[in-house]
Amino acid sequence: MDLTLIFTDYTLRTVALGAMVLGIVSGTLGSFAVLRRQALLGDAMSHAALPGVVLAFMIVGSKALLPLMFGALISGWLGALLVSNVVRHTRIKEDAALGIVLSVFFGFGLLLLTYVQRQGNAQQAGLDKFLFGKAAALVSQDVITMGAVGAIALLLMLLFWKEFKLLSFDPAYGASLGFPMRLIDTLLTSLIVLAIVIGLQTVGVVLMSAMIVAPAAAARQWTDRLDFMVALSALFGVIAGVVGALVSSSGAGLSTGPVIVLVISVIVLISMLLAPNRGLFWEWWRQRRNRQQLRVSAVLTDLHTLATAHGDLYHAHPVGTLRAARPGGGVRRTLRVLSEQGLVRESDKGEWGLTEAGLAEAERLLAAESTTDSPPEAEIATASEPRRDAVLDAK
Amino acid sequence: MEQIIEFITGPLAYPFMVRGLIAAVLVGVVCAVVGTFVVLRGMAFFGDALSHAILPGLAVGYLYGGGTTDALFWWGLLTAILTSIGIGVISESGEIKEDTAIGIVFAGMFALGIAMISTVRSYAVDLAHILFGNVLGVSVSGLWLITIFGGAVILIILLLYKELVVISFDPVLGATLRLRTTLLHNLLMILIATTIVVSLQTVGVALMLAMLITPAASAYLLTRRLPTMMALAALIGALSGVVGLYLSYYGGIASGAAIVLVCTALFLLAFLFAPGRGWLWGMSWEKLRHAALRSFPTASRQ
Repeated sequence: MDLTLIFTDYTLRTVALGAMVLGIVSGTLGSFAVLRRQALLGDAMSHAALPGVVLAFMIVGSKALLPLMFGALISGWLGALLVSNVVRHTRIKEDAALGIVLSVFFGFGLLLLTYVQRQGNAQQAGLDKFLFGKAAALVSQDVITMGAVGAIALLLMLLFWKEFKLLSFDPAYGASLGFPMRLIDTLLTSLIVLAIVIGLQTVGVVLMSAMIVAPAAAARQWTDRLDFMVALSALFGVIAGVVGALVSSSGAGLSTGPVIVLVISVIVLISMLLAPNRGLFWEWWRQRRNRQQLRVSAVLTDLHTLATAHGDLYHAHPVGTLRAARPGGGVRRTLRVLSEQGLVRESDKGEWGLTEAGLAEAERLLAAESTTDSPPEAEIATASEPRRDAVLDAK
Repeated sequence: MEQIIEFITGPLAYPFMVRGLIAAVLVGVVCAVVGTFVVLRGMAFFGDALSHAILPGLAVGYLYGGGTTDALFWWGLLTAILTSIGIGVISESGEIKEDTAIGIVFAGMFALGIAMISTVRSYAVDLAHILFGNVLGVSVSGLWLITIFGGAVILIILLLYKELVVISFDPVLGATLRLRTTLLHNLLMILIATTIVVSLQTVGVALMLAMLITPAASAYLLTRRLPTMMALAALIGALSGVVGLYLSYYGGIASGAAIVLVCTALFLLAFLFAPGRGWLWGMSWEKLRHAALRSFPTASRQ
């Protein structure tokens, strides 16, 4: 596809702009939802928005975005309110309460939708696009509305940045400082509902929760600073939104929601695997290196112990003896690593003994072991490398 | 009187309505019994995620299996069991925050499923059936599948009842008793997966969660004893199935949505009027207490 079309073609430009607004707003506000472990709340509220959309359409009689967004806002908000009431007044846990509210509102929304579709009102055509999203249907008026609502949400977020940060990491401390934490919580939840509402037409109610959670979860992998995380999350949101919207509006009638969510899923997958420090690949690599390190010192001290028993500190032993002393495998490989470091040498008979450097190193390891119960320093550095995310995880 | 009999027997003249009623009752009971554990163990999100995640499997069955409902059943069952085992492995290895991971993986798989189905021309209709269910379209062989697999799920739960109760309420005790907690946990997840596939045709992917947790949550409000809760949940599930179908027949609304709405109405009744701890009860109790305090001002000051 010719990318310059984004700037010249009206439809593509509108779609790309709309997806951009959506990505920024849901990415930034989603960060707080992820940090507060409210993934399910986002899911429930986006489903809960459906009856609001349809009811607003039935009242207004047109598909103008602003009233529909307003309806979605109210019903999403009502859903959140209901959940907190059920949790407070009964012993039903939050997840079950969210599930009930989600399915009730969504079921009711579907009911209204089928009802409206049977009315034969020509205006209703395309209302079902709110289920899975249709970015190609955006007009510039919609994008302006989305932009204005998004700007308000972002502005409020910046104004209350400090309070939201406090709420996400240490609400008890915030309360002790005299902040009205319940009020701040309500405000943040409302802003997240706003973010969901903005994406309804582009992504649809069913998959909108993924747009709240996924960019933030991906960003969380790369950084431990809240401001970087929010910015990165917005960037991921924009990439997923724009790529997804463009692919779906150029392709053969694909709904936008699924395509956007597939793009963001790929971003999340890459982040989970490859992000430095937290990525699964690096985790695996670190563990491998640690095991290697532990084996090296183990074999070295074994050699020292065996040699001491023989009275000759440089006495060489066959691999089999070392294997017997240290079951678990990898002995020969470890010996090769050690001889590369010049700590052991192989005799003509294929037996292994310490070199002078090896002897010194083994004695150092043994001394460190006997003075403290903790492993020697060389291992501490790798075995329990302090994770930089300690600050965020401490919460 | 005759009108009432006519009202009840009228729909039964249609064989598809009879099949639908049997299916709805069976599904209502199975979902409610399994849902009891889902609610007690806080696995609602898992159930929701799983029901969405099997969509790619259904899509494959739809594209390559000829699209008959029986083929969809087997493909759905395969995907659901594989996925539930996958989640078990991931959540045991720790590290990843469960709710976030589940949320993302399943949104991704759901999106993949929709994208796959949407490559077919007539997808709107077929997708609607998968998403929202069509209990009136249950075939005789479909009914057999529901009976056999639903029956198996209930049977396993009854046989392992004691073990499942222990690992649900006191995992530490379970470990002390040398119960194979991991195995039992995985088994429970497979049971949930099977239940979801069994109920798929009745209520569909989108409203699956309601069938799974609403009857159990309503029963949870009414009793504190597990066997009673299970029986009550099954009753509520079956009742919503029957009433929902009649509502759908006479009101002309989608069957899955009707069942779920009846279910929710029952939940609301329990929420408001549960003896001893319902919302209404609490209200009046509060008022009584305030009234009492007002009439004995000295007592309140002490």
